[in-house]
Amino acid sequence: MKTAKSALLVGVGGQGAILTGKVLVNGLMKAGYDVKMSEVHGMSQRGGSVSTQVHWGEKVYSPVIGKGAADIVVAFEKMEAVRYADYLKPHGIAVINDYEMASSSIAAGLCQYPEGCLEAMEKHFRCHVLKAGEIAQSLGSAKCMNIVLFGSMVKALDMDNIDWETVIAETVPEKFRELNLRAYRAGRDAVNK
Amino acid sequence: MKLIREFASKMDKLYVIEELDGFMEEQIRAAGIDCVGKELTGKLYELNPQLLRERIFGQKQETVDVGVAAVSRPPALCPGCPHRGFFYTMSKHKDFVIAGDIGCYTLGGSAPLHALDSVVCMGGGFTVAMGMAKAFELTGQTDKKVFGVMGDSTFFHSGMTGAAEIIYNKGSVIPVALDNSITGMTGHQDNPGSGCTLQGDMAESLKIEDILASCGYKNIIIVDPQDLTAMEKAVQDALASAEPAAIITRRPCLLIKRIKHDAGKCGVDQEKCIGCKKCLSVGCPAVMVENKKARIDPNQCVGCTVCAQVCPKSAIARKEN
Repeated sequence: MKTAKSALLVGVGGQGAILTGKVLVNGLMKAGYDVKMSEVHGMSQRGGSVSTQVHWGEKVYSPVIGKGAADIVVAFEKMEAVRYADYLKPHGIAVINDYEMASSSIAAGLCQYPEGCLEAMEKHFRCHVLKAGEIAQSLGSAKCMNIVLFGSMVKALDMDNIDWETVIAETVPEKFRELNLRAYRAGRDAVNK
Repeated sequence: MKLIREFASKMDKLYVIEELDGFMEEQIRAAGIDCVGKELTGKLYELNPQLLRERIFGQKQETVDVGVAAVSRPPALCPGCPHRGFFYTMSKHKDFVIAGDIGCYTLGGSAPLHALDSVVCMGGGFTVAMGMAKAFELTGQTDKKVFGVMGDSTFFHSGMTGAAEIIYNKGSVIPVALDNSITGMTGHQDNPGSGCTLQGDMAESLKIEDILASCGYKNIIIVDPQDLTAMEKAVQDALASAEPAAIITRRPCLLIKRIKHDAGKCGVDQEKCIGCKKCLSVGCPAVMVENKKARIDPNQCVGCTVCAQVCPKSAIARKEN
């Protein structure tokens, strides 16, 4: 792969975007890519908007990208997809969790959750929309929602040259291994390609 | 500089691209080497390849405007955060002027708590409060009650000088140390109050109350901020104190790994709830109003009961695990 690829994982603090980024990075490094990752935390345990950038290729020079440069955005929450949409390349790929989390300003009645997030994204990008929260719940725990989305991302990007199941098993705590593997497979199945 | 000079001598023109201030650029210019820097690369925003391409070559990256705007998603104090009870108490008093500091408790300044009037720098919680108190004194404004607020690790980092300043120069300020036993926002590093060094070695921990006492604070009130009645009393007692007073709110951060928080979860009695939204005023991410009734997200609630304590109809109660 000559040109580097960039992924942006976005969501709300506590949804597991950072762990997902870690799984991605571990797999890419194992496959021999040059990988750079940059994340926003600190706010992450406190319900703020968070983003993790991962860049990989034969050689990656910058740990961060600017607007209009991401190949894929994986949004753990649908309003966050809209927030970071201008980071996507035109006609880029978006994997979006059809899941709504009110922000504290919405909960306090100061503003309204925006209408039409999914439709707006689908109009401009190659979108894969799934209800990862419900899928995770049906597997036994809402907490594996992040790995469901990761499975969808792998499928959307055709990254089957890497043995992701082994990477996931090695990255997540042992007692959640089976759950996360099921989540990964369910996420893959949720993408029609 | 020799390396840079050699490099520059082989180039037609030297460009310096660096984050933040033009530190290298200034040194290079001072050494008599001509270069191009911040006048081209700009001082705004974190640098990235697309931004540099635009600023240097004038090539703007194509972006898509999807036409839907996301509303703000500000961070909030965690459910069960010990700072919540303190800031809720302070938020009820409009005559309080509160100087804040840098840490999780900076979030006490955002909606709906709005209980900070300034955040400047580490240590500023006490020193800015002192400046404001002196300004009020000089201008004859006697109706303002000034508090300086900072966390335990900030107190050890740069609060002790401010605490001494307030008492030595007779400032009319109540210093408040929010002691949650850890350095919260930056990721739970140990600090001189935790009894462990950053390398993990045991160390003799410093006590905030001992340091304040040695400065001359005669009335040091230690309170559990999650008990709103006790918290209000602590504030009033400090204000009424004839001797120099300080407050320490003490309750550990819930995210500290060794701290158990299996206190149960709060729930709303839908019959009793009148939909007054008073519970929203504590600014807890777990509390929301749906269909004109309060609802508490069981996945987020840790049963701290601060929302239950503010409910005028006793509609919120904690169920033990």
